[in-house]
Amino acid sequence: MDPLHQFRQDTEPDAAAFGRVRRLTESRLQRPASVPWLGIGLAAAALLVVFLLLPGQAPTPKAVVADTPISVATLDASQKSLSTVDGKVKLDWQGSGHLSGTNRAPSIDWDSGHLSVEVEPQQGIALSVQTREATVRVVGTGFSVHRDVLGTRVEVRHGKVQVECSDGSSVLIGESQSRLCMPSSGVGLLARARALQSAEMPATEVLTTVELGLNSKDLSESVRDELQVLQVQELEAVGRKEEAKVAAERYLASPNPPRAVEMHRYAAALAGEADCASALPHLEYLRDHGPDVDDLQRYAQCKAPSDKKEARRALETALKMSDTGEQRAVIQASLAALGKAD
Amino acid sequence: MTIGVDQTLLQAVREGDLRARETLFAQWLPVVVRWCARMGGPSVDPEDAAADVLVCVLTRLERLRDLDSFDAWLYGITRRTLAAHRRKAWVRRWVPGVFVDPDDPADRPDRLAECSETSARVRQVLEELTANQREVLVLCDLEGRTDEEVARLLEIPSGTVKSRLRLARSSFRAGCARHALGEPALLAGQGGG
Repeated sequence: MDPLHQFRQDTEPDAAAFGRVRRLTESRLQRPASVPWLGIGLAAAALLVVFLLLPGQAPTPKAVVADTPISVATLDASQKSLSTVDGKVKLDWQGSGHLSGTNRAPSIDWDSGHLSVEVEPQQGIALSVQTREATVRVVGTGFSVHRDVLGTRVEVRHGKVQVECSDGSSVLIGESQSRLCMPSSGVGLLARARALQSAEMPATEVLTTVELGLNSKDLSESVRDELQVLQVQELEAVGRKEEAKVAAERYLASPNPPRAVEMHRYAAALAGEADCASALPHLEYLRDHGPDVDDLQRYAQCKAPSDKKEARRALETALKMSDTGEQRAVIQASLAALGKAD
Repeated sequence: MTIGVDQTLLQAVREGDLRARETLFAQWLPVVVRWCARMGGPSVDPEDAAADVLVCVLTRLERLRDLDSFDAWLYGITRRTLAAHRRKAWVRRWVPGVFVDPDDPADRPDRLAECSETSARVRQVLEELTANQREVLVLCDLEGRTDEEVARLLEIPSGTVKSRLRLARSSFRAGCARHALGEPALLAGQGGG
């Protein structure tokens, strides 16, 4: 079965779906109109002021842990949490990584997912977490590390942490602050750009990631190709057509670009209906490399003023390829117009 | 597929006529759920998003000045709601625990079971298009609307619909080839172009 037809069938909602939407709609319509956020905010602020004005308690000095090797552990789906260094370091996770080092300097290599860390302060424990994009160093604090295709994000609950990103930047962040270390490899940035595009994040953010990717050092040809295609798509989507045109031409200038047909079609479309001179080289490429009916019609339209015979040939090919009455009628009208012009 | 805008009905809904509201639901609910299912992507629960769209419609209908443009207005709300749901799903990935959502659509076994492998791959190919391209492809090639209908819905010139559709089809064909889906026959036929 044709894939789009299959998709249409599979996404056709049934009576149960309609019923659920109606129930959800009705229940949401009956919710209270608004929550008094201003009042809640003021009350919270007042509580905070009272809390800050209370006399503070001096921290009680505690013994520093011995510098012995830590119990090495694999952090994966078989467990969700771990308490180590005599209960002074607590880890909770959804993802995978590896714990090693010593009791004074536990070291976690975090591969992917969410990791939450609590380190008891004033115990002389210097814990570090490494991902491909970031190194986080802490002495007594609570924070979390989340790593996925978009990069590594560090969020601090209390205390301070030093975050060093793989691009060389380093920053000290405190309570309720967060730091994002983006992937620095070309392939990592391509994955991030695709994820952002899929999440419909602003095109400028996708473009920034694409441009970082195109400037990265370890760029393979295939990754550069895909990043360039994304760049053309996003520039076109935000209406920066001139830049999109230049990017498409740049892509096509590379030796044997794998998505040449697609990019020639972009370049022809970006030239606009009126600019046949810019569009023709692309339309000629499409004519010779698996054109569709639209390509041939546009090619004929651009070719007609200078070479009616060639235009007619293209339209006749398009007529053979067309499979709807509507398309055939349009092509036949164009052929008739060409005949009259003769 | 295309539903005419009934101004009398809309006026009655505005005035609180519950029967008119039922009729409006019966007419437009399937359309909205389809849009959400076909354009929302794998991370969005189409029924949840559709309910948000309908709540927005029913609470803001009074502010709609030109009742004749109801369909374009409704589509605009759907588009913004889907974008918000996509962003919410994105944030959920970043900060687990921020949104407690036991009914994650991506994990629902019934949804997984009812969605064929082919459809999952088509959805993936649609996700690889830009949002502008995805919507013209769905509206023209999946829903069989004409250029003029889509231009009206999106409030853009029909020439823009044509050029976007041409690019969308090209990207979609390339995506189908990459995902081993074969040539999508429907594209050669209906709508647009």
